[in-house]
Amino acid sequence: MTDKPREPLSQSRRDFLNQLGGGFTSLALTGMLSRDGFFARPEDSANPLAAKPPHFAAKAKACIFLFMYGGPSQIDTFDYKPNMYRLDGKTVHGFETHGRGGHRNGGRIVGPKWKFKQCGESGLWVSDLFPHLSACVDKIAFLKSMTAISPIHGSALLMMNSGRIISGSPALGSWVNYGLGSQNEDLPGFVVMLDPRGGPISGAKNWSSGYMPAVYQATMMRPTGEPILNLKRFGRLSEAQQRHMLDTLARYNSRHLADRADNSELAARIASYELAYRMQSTAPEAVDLRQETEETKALYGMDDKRSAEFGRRCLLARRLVERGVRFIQVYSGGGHNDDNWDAHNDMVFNHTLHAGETDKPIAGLLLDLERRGLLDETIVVWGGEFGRQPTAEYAKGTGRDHNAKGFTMWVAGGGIKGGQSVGETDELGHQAQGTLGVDKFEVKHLHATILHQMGLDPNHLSYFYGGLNRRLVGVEGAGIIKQIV
Amino acid sequence: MLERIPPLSAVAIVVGLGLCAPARAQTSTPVRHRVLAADASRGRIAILADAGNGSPGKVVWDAKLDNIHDLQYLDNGNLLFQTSWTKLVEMTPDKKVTWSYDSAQQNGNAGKQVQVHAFQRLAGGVTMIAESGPARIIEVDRAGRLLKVIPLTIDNPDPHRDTRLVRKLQNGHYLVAHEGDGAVREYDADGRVVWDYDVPLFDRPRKGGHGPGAWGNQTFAAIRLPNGNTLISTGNGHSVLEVSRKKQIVWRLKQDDLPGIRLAWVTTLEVLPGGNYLIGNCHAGPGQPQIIEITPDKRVVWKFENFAVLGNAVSNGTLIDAKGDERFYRDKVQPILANNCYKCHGNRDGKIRGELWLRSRTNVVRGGHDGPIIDFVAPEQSRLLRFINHEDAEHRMPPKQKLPAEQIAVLTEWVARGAPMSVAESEWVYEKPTLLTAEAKAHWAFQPIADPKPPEVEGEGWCKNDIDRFVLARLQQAGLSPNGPADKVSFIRRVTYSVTGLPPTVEEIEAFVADRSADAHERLVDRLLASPHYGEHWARHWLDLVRWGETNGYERDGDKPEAWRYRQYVIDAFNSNKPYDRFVTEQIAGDELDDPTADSITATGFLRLGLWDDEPADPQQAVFDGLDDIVRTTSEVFLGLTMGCARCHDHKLDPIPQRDYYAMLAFFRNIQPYSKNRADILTDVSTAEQKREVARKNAVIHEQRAELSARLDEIRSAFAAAYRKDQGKEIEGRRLEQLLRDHGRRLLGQAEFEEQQALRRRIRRLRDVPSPHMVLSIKERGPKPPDTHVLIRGSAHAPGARVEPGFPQILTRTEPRVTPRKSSSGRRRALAEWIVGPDNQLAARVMVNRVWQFHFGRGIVRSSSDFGMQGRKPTHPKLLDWLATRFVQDGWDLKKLHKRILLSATYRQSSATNKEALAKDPVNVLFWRVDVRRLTAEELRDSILVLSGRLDGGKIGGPSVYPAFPIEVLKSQSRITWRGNDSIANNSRRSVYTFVKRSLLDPLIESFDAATTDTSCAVRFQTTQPTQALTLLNSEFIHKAARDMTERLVRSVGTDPVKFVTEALTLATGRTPDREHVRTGVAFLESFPDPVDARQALQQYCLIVLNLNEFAFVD
Repeated sequence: MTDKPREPLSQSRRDFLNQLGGGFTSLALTGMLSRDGFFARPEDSANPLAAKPPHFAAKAKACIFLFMYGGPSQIDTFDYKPNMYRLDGKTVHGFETHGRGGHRNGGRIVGPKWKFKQCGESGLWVSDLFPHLSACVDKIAFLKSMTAISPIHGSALLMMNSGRIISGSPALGSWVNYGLGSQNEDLPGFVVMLDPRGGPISGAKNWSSGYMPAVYQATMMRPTGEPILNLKRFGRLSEAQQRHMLDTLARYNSRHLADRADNSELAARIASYELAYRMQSTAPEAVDLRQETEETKALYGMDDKRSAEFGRRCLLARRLVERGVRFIQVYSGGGHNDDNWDAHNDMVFNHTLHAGETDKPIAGLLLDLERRGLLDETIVVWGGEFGRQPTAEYAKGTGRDHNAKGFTMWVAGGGIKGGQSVGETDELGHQAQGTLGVDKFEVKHLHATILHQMGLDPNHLSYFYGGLNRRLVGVEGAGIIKQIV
Repeated sequence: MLERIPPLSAVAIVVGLGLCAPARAQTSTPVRHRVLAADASRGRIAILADAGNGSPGKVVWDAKLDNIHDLQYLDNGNLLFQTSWTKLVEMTPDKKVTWSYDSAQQNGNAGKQVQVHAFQRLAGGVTMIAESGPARIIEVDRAGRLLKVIPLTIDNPDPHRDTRLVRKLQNGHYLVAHEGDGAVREYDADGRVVWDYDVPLFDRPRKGGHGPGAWGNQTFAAIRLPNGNTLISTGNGHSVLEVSRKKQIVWRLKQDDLPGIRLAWVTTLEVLPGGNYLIGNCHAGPGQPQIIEITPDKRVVWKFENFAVLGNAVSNGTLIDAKGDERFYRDKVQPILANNCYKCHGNRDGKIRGELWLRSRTNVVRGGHDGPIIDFVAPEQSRLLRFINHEDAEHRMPPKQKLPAEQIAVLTEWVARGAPMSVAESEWVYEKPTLLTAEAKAHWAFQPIADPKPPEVEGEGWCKNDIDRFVLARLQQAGLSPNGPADKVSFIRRVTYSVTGLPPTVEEIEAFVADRSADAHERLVDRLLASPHYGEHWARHWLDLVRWGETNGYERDGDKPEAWRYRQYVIDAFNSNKPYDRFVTEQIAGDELDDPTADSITATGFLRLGLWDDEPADPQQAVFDGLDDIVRTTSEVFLGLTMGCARCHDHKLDPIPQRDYYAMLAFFRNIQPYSKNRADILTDVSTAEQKREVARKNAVIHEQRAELSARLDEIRSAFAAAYRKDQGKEIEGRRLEQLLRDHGRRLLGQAEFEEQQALRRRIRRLRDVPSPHMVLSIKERGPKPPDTHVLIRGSAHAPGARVEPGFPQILTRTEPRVTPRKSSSGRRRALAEWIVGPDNQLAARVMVNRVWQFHFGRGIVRSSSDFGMQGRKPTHPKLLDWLATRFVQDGWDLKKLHKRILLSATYRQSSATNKEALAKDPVNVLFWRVDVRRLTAEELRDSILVLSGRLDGGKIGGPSVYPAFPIEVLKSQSRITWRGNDSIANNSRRSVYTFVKRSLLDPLIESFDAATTDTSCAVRFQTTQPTQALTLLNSEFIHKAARDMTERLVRSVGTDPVKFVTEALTLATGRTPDREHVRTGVAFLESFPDPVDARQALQQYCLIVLNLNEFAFVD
């Protein structure tokens, strides 16, 4: 073994960044800063959140993922199974269900609890749960043959969010953040808005950046009060007082930097205080709905107590899209049991509640995006971590257990061809049919399609970690859902 | 086991040597469980395949028929069955009829009433047919010519009921079930009855009908068992009988013997290769299985129940056994593969295309380099079928010409069956030959550790020890010179953080600056290494590596009981300077040592820290997820190898074949998987004295309990007596409690009733004293581990070849020497001893590199857990080896290693900028200075606590604490479980003691790039984000700290601006501020706009100080 230098002594800045930790360092903000004239630097490629060119021309600039936590029932929402009505109450065997209650061989059929009708020019079927959304079907592509690996909330949520049932991998939004960077440095690139009833199971694991740096994780935003943790000045501190404090801090830190002028981390940290200061006003502005008309608020169902809360978050999602936020996840449902779509006991009670809260806001979001010309460049995704069984979970009642073998999700906007339905389940609405990747899909196919619409090649967007080039869609890769793009 | 042999040519073929049980691997891979069954009510004959859950339920082939009482799956893959009572057909899987025979017309039967209920294909294409009506058995050749006629003896002639199942026995006799006669008769070749048996009615009157309520002896099937007995299904007798030659019933399955199953018309009967029975349950109605496999001791193995597919008249079923599949492969499939595919995918001497090897089932299942070719859940979607049908533009196979349709049909059928192969073929496993190449073998990290001589250098004066000679030589080669020493304040601040993670006190700084003696540095380092804070700080480094967390993750994210004991072990190990080899050994195999101690058993908690899903979607896979966590963590932490990548396939980048991964996994295969059951994961390590004490206390408790119980029993008896008197009857066993509650007060009187209640309460409260010292630890399931198999594509459901424990081949050819112990396999000890033994090149290198990394901010190898071929190369390889050699020679003494590094001139350099060096070596590859570094998340939080005067630095160790988190953060949980509050106990401890809940991390710690908790973290990210600034500007935590710091300063120096500013800056930076710094501070205080009270400006000044770069960074 010789002791020759293993690294060139003079390296490009990118090499330097690549060799530290996971690929870059705290130069994060020098780029932003240089644009502000605060700290001159010749290049700014080091900023991990700097806008990056997509792999190819993007159809969508942003994604709003409406996460129906708990798992909506496909045969009560969009997957019309007319024969199931008359089977209601009949016991059937010969097909194996796998849910929270383990493996079972058939059981008592619970027929769909709502009527369906054909809607729009496309004549797609939608249940009476969604009187408003049914008017939007021509914008929507339904995926009725989705499958997932796990029928258990914790792992299934991780799967839908990060492509793996084990925690520790970056969420879809983190990949987008990593792949495209931010269009607005004063706001986070990946935002999650939770249901006021609580977070989903596993909490922050669902929007974590996993093995990527924390800079790519989602920032939780609240629709009322202080939108981001620690955004508000503490106690009775006035803006002038804080400005005074920050000016003095900058004075000290600049002097400290003077002897260490080559140290970009120190400079980045100085800049980060200015950014934080700016965020204190830009983030509240983003959530300030006073600028919206009453008509717009009504469009989102904010005039109805039932849908006001979810409507507020949908409207906020649109405002964030307008301000350049790339990926916004809005949860319908939180906590446990009937606080989310997890209808184990009473389908009618549960889905009436959650559909009632979300129907008008979601329809409003689609319409509002469209009339503002944003729908073409914003991909809207609807769905839960899995679907529900055609059979009853318990001896009594109408509740359904979890079902990962077949369920419905839908996608609209962002270059998605609406007014169509892709894939199908068997006659019971239990198991997705067809050929995997062609007309039957796994979560990775949905992920791949979203990345693709946003201009990222799902099979090339990778991050080196733990000895491997990791991808959201896994080592085997995944094709996109061709029918809908 | 399979021998590991190096590649001989371009292709490495691993040959089975007989010890491996290929048949076993064969049956446990997903060959589909298939049944051929027929049902006249639906007019359907069908092959039902495994629906993916181990029981057949999915139709993969079907055809129409009219009536049926017999069917056969022939060796050639064809089916022999009847389409009506008279017509037999032999059909290929693609529904070509290759032979047929009509008993109504042929061989003299025209015009007669004939029905066929049994037939059998014999050798030479001869078919045996039993004809009811003519009452004869005939044998015909393929042309339908009559070869043999055997007349039957019938008591109650009836063309529909003369016979049911007939089978020719090996001795040439015929065993016939006569339905109408309720009898079984054995005929010799001339038609003489040589044995007969009248099926009994068991003294019950006959009852008509077909369902479970009927009764009779309309026998359906009789089979001769190898022991000479006869197995009989009795039709409407709802049973199966085993009858001896002497006509004794030696075994009987009755109508309701099987739990949840009611037998109706028991029809088809088959003895499976393993000795189980397949029985048909016809006319049983919906809700009952139609075909059932049972063991001879009447356990149900699986059942087929699917009324949608087959209805209420499933008379026949046969399991398509593995032997038939094997013959099918050998006779039909293998020739096609050999003639068309082997040239590229089975040629032992040539090139293998696409890494696809078709000569072993392991490889067929695994697929080629772009993935699997067979979809076992949905075979019709298999890529192989797309290839051979030329539907895949990139893979048309064979490329030149499409196979003829009949060959495609055979391969389609083969795929539908789950790609069965013959045993012999499964042994020819192909392993990627490119892994253990000469280049891989020459990789620096796989070479033995050298003991290089420190180079000669000019300008010796700068050097403090040999480390510096290695560093200086490199610098001089590059034409650079190192920085001079840092000033003493910078040095003590740097080294105090390096060793303890805390800032030095003002007194410590003053004392060191004042100490002009030659050994001042050495004494400082000695003092720091002796500080208990050293253990706390370095434990935190170690916790990063071992994916430290105190909960299981997943849905409930439940606590790991007593996990903190492991952290305590690590802190104590560093503080007591436990030799590193012992430290490693204890964590991997502390329970398997000759002298296990409480300490060494606690250390095995290392293996328990991973994620664990208490409700896995796939429990079997989850067990291997747990083992994967252990293999990955162990290999990365101790060996600097990323072995986890080889779980599903050979490592793409490193010379680690998949087999090596499973050989490593085999060391851990026997451990009791993580569980909710405390007995599986906790060990009582209390001392003998503690145990005696617990026993003594419990003896007292037991005595008290006995006394109370005795009195309670008295009262109960009194009550029973009173009740008897009152009601005139005895109390039945269990009802006493209930009656006592309802009638006690009346029958016993107030006083005695209440005494009884009080006694019960007291007994309930008398709980046994638990052991005072339980630890999270590893346990094994006895000395004999289960087999470990390579899992094809990482699936627990697709075991491949069996492997024995073994070390990575690239590192050694040594085989582990395993000595089983009474309660464990001894395997982990063998692994631990090898890791720290002389035969492993990596353990010492990896650890000295980590120590270097934590002192200098980066390792000599930057990718400190990846010394593989994709890892970074060492910047100073000789220095690394020199340090590793000294480390081992010193008895793996960590404190000596620290001291050697900390006293080097290299470490003592200043961090000042040198323009020339910066231009030539901008990232300081050569260590021309010490890099300025930001405090870690924990150092920052702890230092803020120090400045606020709140840190409880006196207490070392103990259980975890729960600092207060903002409510907004808690609300992100589906259920708020954090026990944190504002108590001093929770908020004043060092960050290492904060309870690590995987789904809820301290937001401050998390935002400053804390280690990930799910996997081993070797190098933390270092990011700068506005959220960090927001946390340190606006959080409740920082404002409390600023307020406490203000009060502390006001108490010590008062509110005089100059004194206040001076003291605040001194505390934060370790040095007396210059005049300009003070002036800036005073100006701030004096011009603070509209203060709400006298303290506000001071408090805001403290906030500034806590945000200073000079505070958050170390020179």
